[in-house]
Amino acid sequence: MSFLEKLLEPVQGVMLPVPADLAAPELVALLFTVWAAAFGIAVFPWAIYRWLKKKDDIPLWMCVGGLLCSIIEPMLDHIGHLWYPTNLPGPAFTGFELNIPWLIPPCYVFFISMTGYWAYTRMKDGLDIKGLFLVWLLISMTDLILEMPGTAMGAYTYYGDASFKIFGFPIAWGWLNGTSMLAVGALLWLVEPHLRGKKRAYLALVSVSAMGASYGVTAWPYFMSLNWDGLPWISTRLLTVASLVLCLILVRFIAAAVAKNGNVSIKNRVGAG
Amino acid sequence: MLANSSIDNAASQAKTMFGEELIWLFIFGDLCTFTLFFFIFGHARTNNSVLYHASQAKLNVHFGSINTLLLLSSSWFVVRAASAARKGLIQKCTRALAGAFILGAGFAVFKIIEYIDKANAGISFSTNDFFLFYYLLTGLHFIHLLTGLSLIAYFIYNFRANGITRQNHATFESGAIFWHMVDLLWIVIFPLLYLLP
Repeated sequence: MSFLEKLLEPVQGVMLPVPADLAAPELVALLFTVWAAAFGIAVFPWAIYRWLKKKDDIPLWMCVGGLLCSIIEPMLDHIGHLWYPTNLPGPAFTGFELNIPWLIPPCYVFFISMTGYWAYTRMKDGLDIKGLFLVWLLISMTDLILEMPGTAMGAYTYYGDASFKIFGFPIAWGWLNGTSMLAVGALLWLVEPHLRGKKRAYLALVSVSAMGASYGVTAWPYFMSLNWDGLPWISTRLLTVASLVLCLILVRFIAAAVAKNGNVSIKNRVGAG
Repeated sequence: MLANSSIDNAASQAKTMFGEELIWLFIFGDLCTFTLFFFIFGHARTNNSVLYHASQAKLNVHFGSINTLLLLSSSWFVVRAASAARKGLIQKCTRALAGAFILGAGFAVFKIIEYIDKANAGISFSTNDFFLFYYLLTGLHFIHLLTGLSLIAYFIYNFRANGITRQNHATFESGAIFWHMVDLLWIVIFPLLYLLP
């Protein structure tokens, strides 16, 4: 096959059958569950401490929000071609006919909500545009660090012909998740000053709203590359790169709103700092 | 130079907490995770001590020892850098950070040589449970190390470009704490994998 033929080779993009026979090695299943879940569980005592001792309820609402947000995992797994072997500890719940292991809800608490919360604290301290891109880069890296050990050891798999895999991990998920975590921080930064009294409970919806919105804006080319039947190979790669471009545009939009030198003034943000 | 008011602010912050609160939360989570790994390793080792001893014998203790010295020395440089940063001595701080970076990079080089050595011997994480732990623990530690090196490089650049301000000083202290955690993890991983009789 010539190079040109390779570039234009049609790629099967229909909903693929999941690798249902895949089993994670027993020890790997246990170790990866610890790796992905322990951070999220460790956060709760701190969040309760912040609430009771410092009268700061944001971390606790974000923890609850992380648990809620994990409900969208089966949808992402379905269109993003991710399969958790059924012998991983769990399931925590089932959706889209997929078993979601126990590790996922606490994983969302730390890696979506609390990473978003960290981005929020950076924004409150005052970030310039460059600083915001640096925060985005850092939190995108955390996703790679979280997921790559799992895919490399066979705890779970991204099946099908996903673009740009390293140790079985399609790095597109790094920038997609990184952008969604930043969006969580930005939405928290925008709405938190407006929510008082019972309305504080709406903070629990920040993670799922921002993550869903971010994926809607940025992930569709990547999901198209996975699910559109018969696209030339090169198109699948270009679509994946397009999702990166959309992520960078969204990060720049966020920077315009939250960065010190951004050009959009959020006048209604109470106590913007 | 750090402005006087910034020194006061940094000093008063240091009285209550070194670094930022969230870095301590991250370290707590990280240490909980690794502690569980260590317990699982201990349990697995007890149940299959023959395999673990035989596999441990294939590790190069000299590499591990040199890396321990490199990382401990690197942490000492970070302490020197933190001390200089508090006094607003940019040059002394960035020089110490450069020293920490070089020693940390040395650790990375030895670790890569060790990984190549293992790959050439046909050893991977799927060889047996001991090497699964070996690659998991040293691999995750290696990722921490690379993150720490990136942070050190960033602090050198940032201090040189912007001087030492209250904000970047607080972030630097968090980075320094992270580097010490990388050190601490290795101090447990090294005897656990390389030395345990």
